[in-house]
Amino acid sequence: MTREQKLIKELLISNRCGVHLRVGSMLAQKAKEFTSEIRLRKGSYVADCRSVLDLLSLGAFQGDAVVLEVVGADAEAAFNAITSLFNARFFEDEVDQA
Amino acid sequence: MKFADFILPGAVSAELKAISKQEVIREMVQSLLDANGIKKEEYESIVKAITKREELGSTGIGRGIAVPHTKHPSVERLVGCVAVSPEGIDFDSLDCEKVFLFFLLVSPPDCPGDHLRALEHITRQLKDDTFCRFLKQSKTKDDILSLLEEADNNMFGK
Repeated sequence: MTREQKLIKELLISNRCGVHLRVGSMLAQKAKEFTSEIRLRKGSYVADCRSVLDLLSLGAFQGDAVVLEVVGADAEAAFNAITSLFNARFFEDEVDQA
Repeated sequence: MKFADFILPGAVSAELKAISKQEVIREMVQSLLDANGIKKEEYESIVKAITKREELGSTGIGRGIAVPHTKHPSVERLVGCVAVSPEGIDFDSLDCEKVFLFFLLVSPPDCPGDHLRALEHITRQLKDDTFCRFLKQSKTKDDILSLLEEADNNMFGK
């Protein structure tokens, strides 16, 4: 039986444009690669990381802190994958800001 | 931010005539032009910029919603329009479903904050099933404007 893990970490939105549509799509696409529940929380708003609609409704701007919560059998891999996107600033400098 | 801050009342349509993605973009940008939200000479350039953005990945975000957009140096403030397609249109959405509700945005290049605040407001309202359903059922421009006003008055999305 696979053991379920729960991982939580506060992350900073460091890219200039915040969680806009392309960033939301990138996060949702990555989250769908895993079976774990992946949520981002900003204040009282909680977003299912698989939903672009949810992610955009967070209103996450540059400088905002959000809390990443991952629960499930592949939580560690999912947690690492999502935090990597944050650390890479969602590759904003490499893509035409759209 | 509220809908009234960026949606031009003259650029709202309950009966989108377009039947393709490109036609949606052209028809909606035309509505911005008709409402004096953009300059006539910038029409083609704005259509091209929005089309280019769509090539990076569809702005059809699922649940029958799309938010085509671009930054463009010709606008001094964020301007937007709303259109409803009763039949739904194939917009290459992330969930592969047809799109019924379109919010098109054009923002100045150096204003990422306003663009993000508009996206936040649109999506918070659209997460409300009642607002979403009523918007899809809108028959007239006035129906849509009333719904947007009610949303701005915090009657949905809570």
